[in-house]
Amino acid sequence: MSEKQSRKQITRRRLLQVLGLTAGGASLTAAANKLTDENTRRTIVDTLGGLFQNHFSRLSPDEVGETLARMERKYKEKYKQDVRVEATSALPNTLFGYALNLSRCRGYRDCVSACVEENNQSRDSEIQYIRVLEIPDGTMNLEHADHYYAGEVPKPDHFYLPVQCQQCENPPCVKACPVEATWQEPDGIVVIDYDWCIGCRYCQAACPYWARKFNWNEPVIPAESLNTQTHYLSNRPREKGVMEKCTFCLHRVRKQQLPACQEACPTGARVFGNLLDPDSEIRYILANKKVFRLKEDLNTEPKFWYYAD
Amino acid sequence: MSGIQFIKDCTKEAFQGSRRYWLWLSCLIAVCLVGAIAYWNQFTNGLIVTGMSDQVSWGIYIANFTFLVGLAAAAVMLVIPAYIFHNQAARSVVLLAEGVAVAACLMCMLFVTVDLGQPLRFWHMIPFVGRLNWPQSMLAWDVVVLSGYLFLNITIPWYITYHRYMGKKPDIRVYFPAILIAIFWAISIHTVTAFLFIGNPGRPFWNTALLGPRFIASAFTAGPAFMVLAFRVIDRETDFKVNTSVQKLLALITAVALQINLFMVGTELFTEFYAPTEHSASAQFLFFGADGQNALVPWIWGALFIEIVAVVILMVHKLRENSNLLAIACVLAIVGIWIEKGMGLIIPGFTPTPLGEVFGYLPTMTESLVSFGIWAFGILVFTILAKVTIKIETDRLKYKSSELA
Amino acid sequence: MRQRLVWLAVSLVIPTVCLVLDAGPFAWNNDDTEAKSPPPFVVSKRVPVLEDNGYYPCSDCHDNDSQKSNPRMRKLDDEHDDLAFDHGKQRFWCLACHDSENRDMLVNRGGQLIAFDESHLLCGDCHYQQQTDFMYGAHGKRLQSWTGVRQIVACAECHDVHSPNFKPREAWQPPQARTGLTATSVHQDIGGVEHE
Repeated sequence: MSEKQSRKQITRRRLLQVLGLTAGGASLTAAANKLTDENTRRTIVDTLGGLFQNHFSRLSPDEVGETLARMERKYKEKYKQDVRVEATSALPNTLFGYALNLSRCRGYRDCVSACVEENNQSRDSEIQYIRVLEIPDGTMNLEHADHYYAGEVPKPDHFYLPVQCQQCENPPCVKACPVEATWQEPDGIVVIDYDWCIGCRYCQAACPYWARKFNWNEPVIPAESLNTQTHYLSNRPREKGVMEKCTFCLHRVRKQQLPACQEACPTGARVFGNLLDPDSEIRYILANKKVFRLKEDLNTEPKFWYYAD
Repeated sequence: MSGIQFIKDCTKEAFQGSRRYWLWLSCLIAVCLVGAIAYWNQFTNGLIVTGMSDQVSWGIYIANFTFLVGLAAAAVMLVIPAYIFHNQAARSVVLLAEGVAVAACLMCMLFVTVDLGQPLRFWHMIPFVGRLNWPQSMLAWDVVVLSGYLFLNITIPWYITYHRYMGKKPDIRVYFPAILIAIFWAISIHTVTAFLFIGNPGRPFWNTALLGPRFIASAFTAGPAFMVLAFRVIDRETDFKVNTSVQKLLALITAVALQINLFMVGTELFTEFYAPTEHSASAQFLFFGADGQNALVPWIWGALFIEIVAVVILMVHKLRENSNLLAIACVLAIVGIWIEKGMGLIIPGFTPTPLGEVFGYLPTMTESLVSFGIWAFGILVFTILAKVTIKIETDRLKYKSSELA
Repeated sequence: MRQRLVWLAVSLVIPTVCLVLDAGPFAWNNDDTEAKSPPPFVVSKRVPVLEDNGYYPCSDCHDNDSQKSNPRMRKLDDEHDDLAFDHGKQRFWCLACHDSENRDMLVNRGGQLIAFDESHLLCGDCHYQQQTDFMYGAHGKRLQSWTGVRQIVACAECHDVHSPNFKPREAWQPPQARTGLTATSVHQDIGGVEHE
């Protein structure tokens, strides 16, 4: 973030405090402190904290710490187990990109399954970040694709095109959001502050890749299949009425691990890497394979390439 | 103090009237309550109670919103003749037109609010306290222009009626600049709403520059048609007589705007069907259905048909002069536009999805009840505004200093 | 004489010019990436897996003493009869890749011995494009991390070397529509909203 931007944010912060929202919240919290016993106090303070939580980028490091702790308490309450919520920032000199070899993808949907487990998507409303399209040979018209194929794959005379968030360099969803609840991180990943999203779904209308999914009801994740290693901007459990999307497993890749979909793919069709590293596999692919991106005419500049060999 | 007295008197006036008036209010309030109960269900359970899905993520709420922004903008069609061309007949009813704008604006805001997944976070849209993504987001623009338009349409009539109430003459130098702003603002609210859709290259059905002019033309069809009907009711139900020249003027505007609208629909149809591209799939779905999904087909053909019937009635001088036929034509025009730029615009924008999937959408009972509730609320607001305005305009509600004591 | 000198000059000058052009900025096929050696990588070990399977060391049975190597192509119906043997559409025989003398080693077309842990050096004899891609990252699967020394899965871990094509199998369940709605795809004629 540039100095100018951060200074702007500090000014806004001041203004906010002048406007008394924070002050009001603090006095309510103080009142709650005096009034009640430890447990009730915690609940009241946490509820108020949740209701008046500020935009993620406006939180000071201390406030981030408090917020993460509050969330861990909330998830512990809900899922009866310890959930870790991190807020690791982007690694220096990284810009993540993905390449997918269409000749290798065989439509098993192992990536989809791994993604759902890794990212704590609601099992009830069946949110999935990856759609694998079964397309007859000889066309790239997505309208000829079957999204609901089942049984033994690959089917003769068909190929498989997995689509997920393309992490556009020029993301229409970020432009669309009326409250800046979604933005692009320095490592190129488009993230959502689930506690700032108002659920208007304009980003969903704006996305040309159908990458954004909405929590139509309170998400249901069986406690035993909850992934307890989470990140604020990525796979922590969501609530109803907010958007979510693929973050290239931000909570994993910022620890230098590979995304869950890459790890799950049994054919090695998926290649993930740092676009700023000239020795990375993805750079080799971009330089040596005939790659293409979906809907390039829309000028979204996806960081997700497809190739075939 | 007189300001408080003004509010008091107006409120009192709003809630006194004949048995018929009360019966009307009660019906509207009842529908509002049903809508509120339905909304409570949606609020607690989430938008899962609607027919919307990740495939078709906007539905009848946004369809109504789009239609109603047009209705709000159309007040300008009386504001211009009244204040710019000094048409006395238009001037006599212009406050009522602004009442329509206020009611429509409120309905728009409600329709957007009920569409939100996290309505309690509305404060995130308030600049500085929240974080309005202006000027990037077209939705942020829409929030700004709608609030501004509502503000203008409350303050201008407030200023004028208050002076009338106080027995003073409103100073044209004070309110005329506001009126000029409001005229441009009216066009802008609907243009911005069109841009909200146009600005999505990922949705080719909306991504056409013609949508802006089409929105304006359809708004200037449905808005004046709605006012013809409203004035007809007021004329019959109250002792306020609406000048026939106003109705003639509005009918003429409706006739011209509807012709322009149909012409533009025709050019769109030519583009979509003469040399269909991959991007014509949405129009194909709308007019002929796709993959077994054809719920919209009878509606859109019906809409075009009744719009053509309406335009015939409105264009033939003799037919238009007949007030009953005019009323029928207005109803047809409103319903036709509601379908065409409501569901007929929103749903095909999402069908097929960007990944080529054709997915059905039908509003659920909850969605319909909430929509009816909001419409009832809007009509309630207009009824009350009209009642009070008429009383003040006819000098029967005036400031009495004795009441203060 | 003079003619000969001219010819000599021409025959010397042309190759020199060509050499200069080829090495210099005018090179016709100056592919940097190809020329660069691949970034360091580690291939997952195969031997422990084979040992677990009880197949390795091969010399336990194939000791070239009690068990002499038999170069005759035949159907294996005693040992190794469980191998699907259709690599190269039955053009190959065991000894195309396994060394007949040193039974714990593989052998390439040039007769060089290759350890089981380095099978990627052997496969490239025929699949040279895949081998290049493997070394640089466009073929095969990376493990652990997207950064640092690449750890890649050995060829034989994904491919059954005796029948290298992936076999069709059941896909994971198709996506469901949102709760309360039913899915409808291009090929299905169902759907819409289920009203309670």
